[in-house]
Amino acid sequence: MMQRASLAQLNPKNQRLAPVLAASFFTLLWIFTLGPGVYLSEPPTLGHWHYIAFSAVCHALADRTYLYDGIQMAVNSRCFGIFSGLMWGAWLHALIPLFAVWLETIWPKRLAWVALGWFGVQVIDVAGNQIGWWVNTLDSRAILGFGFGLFLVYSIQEAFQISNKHNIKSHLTHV
Amino acid sequence: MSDQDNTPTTGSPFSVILLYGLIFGILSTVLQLAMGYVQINSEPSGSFFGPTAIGGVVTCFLAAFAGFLAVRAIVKGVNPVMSFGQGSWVGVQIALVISVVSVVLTQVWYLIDPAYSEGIIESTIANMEQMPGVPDEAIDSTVESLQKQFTLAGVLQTAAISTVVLIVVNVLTSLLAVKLFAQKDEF
Repeated sequence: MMQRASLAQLNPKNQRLAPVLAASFFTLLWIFTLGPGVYLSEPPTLGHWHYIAFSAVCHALADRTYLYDGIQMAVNSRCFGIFSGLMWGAWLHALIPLFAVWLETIWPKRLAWVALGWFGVQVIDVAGNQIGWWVNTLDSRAILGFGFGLFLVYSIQEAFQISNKHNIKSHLTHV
Repeated sequence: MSDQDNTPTTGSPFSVILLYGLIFGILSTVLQLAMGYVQINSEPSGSFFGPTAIGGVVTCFLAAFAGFLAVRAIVKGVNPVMSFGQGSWVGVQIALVISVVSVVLTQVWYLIDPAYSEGIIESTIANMEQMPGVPDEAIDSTVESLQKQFTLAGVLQTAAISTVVLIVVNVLTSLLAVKLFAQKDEF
């Protein structure tokens, strides 16, 4: 049974399926970030599950959040950018896997450092805005967030594919 | 025998997860409660971006990167070899620990200071009354939802729903840490 499972993992179809499933998951998450405006015509209370779901990771203040169909989204503009970046990055990897492999080959770990650096840019942007050095907007926050999400998901794209080495290793072990 | 078996380890990954979960759970809860007191004791500004919101921004960063720092600590102090799957599991566990710590601490604090929830509700009403164009119905519905959130059922419901997204975010940051700091399990 274990041997058969290993052989199934080596199937090239499975190699392509995992990134598509990951991208579908991030798409679903992105749809959730659009908020209750997707299916409600009247604004719900702040206690609506859509707002609560993201409350631990996003403040979603009314004046820092886009509206969807006249109703406040579930996350603020920066987080919307991040979740959009995650979705587009995951689809980019799923549809053009060779690009991800090429990037990983020429820049191992560098994309991950770029993602971390881009997170630092978010912190600087928040701090600069608070201190009063500049005024950021909904769009500027969303664009900065998008870059972080894109680099984050792209730098960890290996996690969303079945590793050939790992499969071959487990296959050999079980055989 | 692989390289992983020869690697000296100190402590267990779960003790690190528990430690980081406690630290970040306590930090984020204390910060939220402290900002709540700042809001209660300050004049209504008529702006959504009050002290609790500033606390919320910092809490976002803390909660999101707990998994990242926990993976880094495990890789540096316990075992340098970690797979993406193991990293994901660290993210899940740390999000759960943070949620539990947060629920327990806030419930204990509501018992210690029962006036806290009333103070938050009253200061929110005062703040919303200063905002131009906010109808009374909006204030009423906000108060109603706040009152629900301060009950035990409300706290548990909020924790249960928000933990799902907290897990997703911590898994992502944990994977980033695996990519940056962990050694690959080569053969």
